[in-house]
Amino acid sequence: MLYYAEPVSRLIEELSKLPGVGPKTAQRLAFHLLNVPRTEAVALARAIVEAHDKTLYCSVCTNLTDSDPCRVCGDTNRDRSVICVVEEPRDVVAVEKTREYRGLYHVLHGALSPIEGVGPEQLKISQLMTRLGDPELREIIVATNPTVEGEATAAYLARLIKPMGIKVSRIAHGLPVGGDLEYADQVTLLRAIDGRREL
Amino acid sequence: MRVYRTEALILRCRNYGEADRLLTLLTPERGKVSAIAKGVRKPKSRLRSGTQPLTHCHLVLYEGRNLHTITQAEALESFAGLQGDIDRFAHASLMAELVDKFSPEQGGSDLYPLLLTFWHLLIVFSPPIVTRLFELRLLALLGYCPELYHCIDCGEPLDEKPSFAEGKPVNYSPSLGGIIGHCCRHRHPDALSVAASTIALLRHMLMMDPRHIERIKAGEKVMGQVTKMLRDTIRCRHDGHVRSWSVLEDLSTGKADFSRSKEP
Repeated sequence: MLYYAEPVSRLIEELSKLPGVGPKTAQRLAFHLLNVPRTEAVALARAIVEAHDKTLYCSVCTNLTDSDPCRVCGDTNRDRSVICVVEEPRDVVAVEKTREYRGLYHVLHGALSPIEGVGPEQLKISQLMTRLGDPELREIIVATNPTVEGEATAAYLARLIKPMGIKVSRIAHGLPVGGDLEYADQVTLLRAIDGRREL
Repeated sequence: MRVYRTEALILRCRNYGEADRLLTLLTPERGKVSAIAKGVRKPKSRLRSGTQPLTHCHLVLYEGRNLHTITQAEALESFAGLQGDIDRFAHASLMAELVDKFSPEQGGSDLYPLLLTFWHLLIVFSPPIVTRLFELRLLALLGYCPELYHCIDCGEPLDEKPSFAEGKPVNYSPSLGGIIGHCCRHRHPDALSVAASTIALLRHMLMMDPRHIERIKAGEKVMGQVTKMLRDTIRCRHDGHVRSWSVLEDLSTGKADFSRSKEP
């Protein structure tokens, strides 16, 4: 038996495919969308379609972009001697928000995880290797997540890139700003001591 | 008791929802357990370091209806030596994947000491040989130990055969999980042909103390045969695809590809 009109049940079905949205939430969202003015619903639908149609992966850094090369890669004012390697496009935004880093990026779209079947072939490593030929390039900053997978990816990249005479650095690990030493776990504290610097 | 403390080895992690992570744990008392670490991906979470994959940790869990919830986590050994080396990392992942695949939910607690020992060995010794020894011991613990002394078909002892004493190649059937004597060879056309020294090495690997693993000296051909025998035996005992194998193959070939691309 069909509980809802067919278009409504289709909307609920589509919404429930979204991450973190169960059938009840999908139902609530669907009825909300039916209650809002038509213009708002159309704006949402159009935004989804446009986001899909107009975004592509930058041919240089493989970040999500609406123009190729992306704004960062095309910006002549940026420092071309450094590339910051991150796991996800979201991480580019996080680093950009610091407003300190003025170099380029490279997005790997994941981290090595053999148990999930993610090897070097599944990541955008070959694109990174082609960028290393740039004579201006001096340093690669590996800013993958401080997780087991991220560390393994960093170690792998270092092994590939170092023999080519390019400096490879890893972002520091340690205590979060505003954190509390007594509540820090041993591993973090150990890394913080390892990476200490002179004042 | 709904709240319990346990040691655990973390086999696998998957992100779940906004900031949670689903973990597959191997515990010494309760075997394989699925647990959720809530909010673990937030920077303030105190569970983070104790819930990384491929770590040995101390956990406090709350037993829910389906999933267990991790309330406290502390890393006992984070195996930093495995993370810093992609080969070791991939081999450690392979071990975790095999244990995960061969353990039923709530089962596999007898594999706990094996996995913990071999992760430790992997930090020190050459990854391929440690992994081969692990695979053999795993099969033995699961009751699938390859038969290396008698023909698996007719039961005749291999050592009494003059051809074996002379060092002639032997046949091994992965599907039956044992060697095939000359007497029964015609019935098993799919059996692998392996050197007598390979069988001798496998016999030694079953008996030896794993701490003396560096004493194993084997040529590339013999190691290749051991690898194929063990992998095929594992494939015959488990239907699913072992993902870490393909990544390990990628790693050995991928390295060559990338080094070619960097040359102008």
